[in-house]
Amino acid sequence: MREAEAFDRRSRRTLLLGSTTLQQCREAVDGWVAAGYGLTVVPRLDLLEGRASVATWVQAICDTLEEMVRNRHAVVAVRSEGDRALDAVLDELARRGVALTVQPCDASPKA
Amino acid sequence: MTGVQPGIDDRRGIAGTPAKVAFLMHSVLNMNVRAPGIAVHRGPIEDLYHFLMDRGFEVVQIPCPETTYVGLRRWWFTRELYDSVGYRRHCRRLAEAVCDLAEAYHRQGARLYFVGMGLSPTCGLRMTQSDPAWGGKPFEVPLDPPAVPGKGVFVEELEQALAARGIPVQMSDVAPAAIYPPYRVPAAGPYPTSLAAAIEEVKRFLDA
Repeated sequence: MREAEAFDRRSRRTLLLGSTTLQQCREAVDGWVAAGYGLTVVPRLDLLEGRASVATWVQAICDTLEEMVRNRHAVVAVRSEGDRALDAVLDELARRGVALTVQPCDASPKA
Repeated sequence: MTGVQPGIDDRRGIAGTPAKVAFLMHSVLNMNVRAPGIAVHRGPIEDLYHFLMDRGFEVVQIPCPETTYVGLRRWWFTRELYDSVGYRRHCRRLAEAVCDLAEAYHRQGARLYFVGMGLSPTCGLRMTQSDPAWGGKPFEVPLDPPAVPGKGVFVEELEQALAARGIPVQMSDVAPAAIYPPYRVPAAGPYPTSLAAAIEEVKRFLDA
């Protein structure tokens, strides 16, 4: 194995969540992190209500996640109640035909 | 807790407004967006993730400009390869979106921090990678990076966008020792060269 390949430690596993969920479900998220999941966090887009940049954020996050799925990474979404920012991302992914598993925020990673 | 007023704690301001907001380049929390062959963490830089959470930071993770433009299977690039009209437009658009959020937090009185990735041709702050010879027919490149003082393309666009709006943001980047395999850590330059020192440097920056 070449040296560069030996250092490719990417888990190819990502947990998608909103920043609200990150704050509310810290203990559960710690479990996903310990299991090797990287985090993709949707920021508080409600702070941008009405601004065109909401679409830029949603499209860029969805481009990232769609690229992961196309490259056979595992992507799991967790959400707490009322995490509206995550809904916008999930809606756009559904429109693109990218289906994600969505679990409650206190879910644990599978062994 | 000392010196705390009603409704305010040491981590969040009045009525839940975050006291500190960390704008992080995507790979700080998710190495899965890095180019193949240079990720020393499986997911986040775990020490920094726990530090940010323990300190009550609000986290804003900036989408990776490289992944959203070139994709996950990209080659290792130099700054020159990214310094194109189209990529700059892509970075500028993303930087403006980041600024909109930074402006909203700034109006709430939050203190803002930006954490880039050292050496990155896109989001390095103190050093980047430069070699005008890269391009055209692919050829074997050395494992050690062509490191030079300078900033990545996205960082330049973000700095300009923040300055145009007068938004104060403390800026730093994670030293290569915390994010790259040892063979890609420059022996000389502004960065600490051990993993522990690199992590401590970011923590000190965020604690300021």
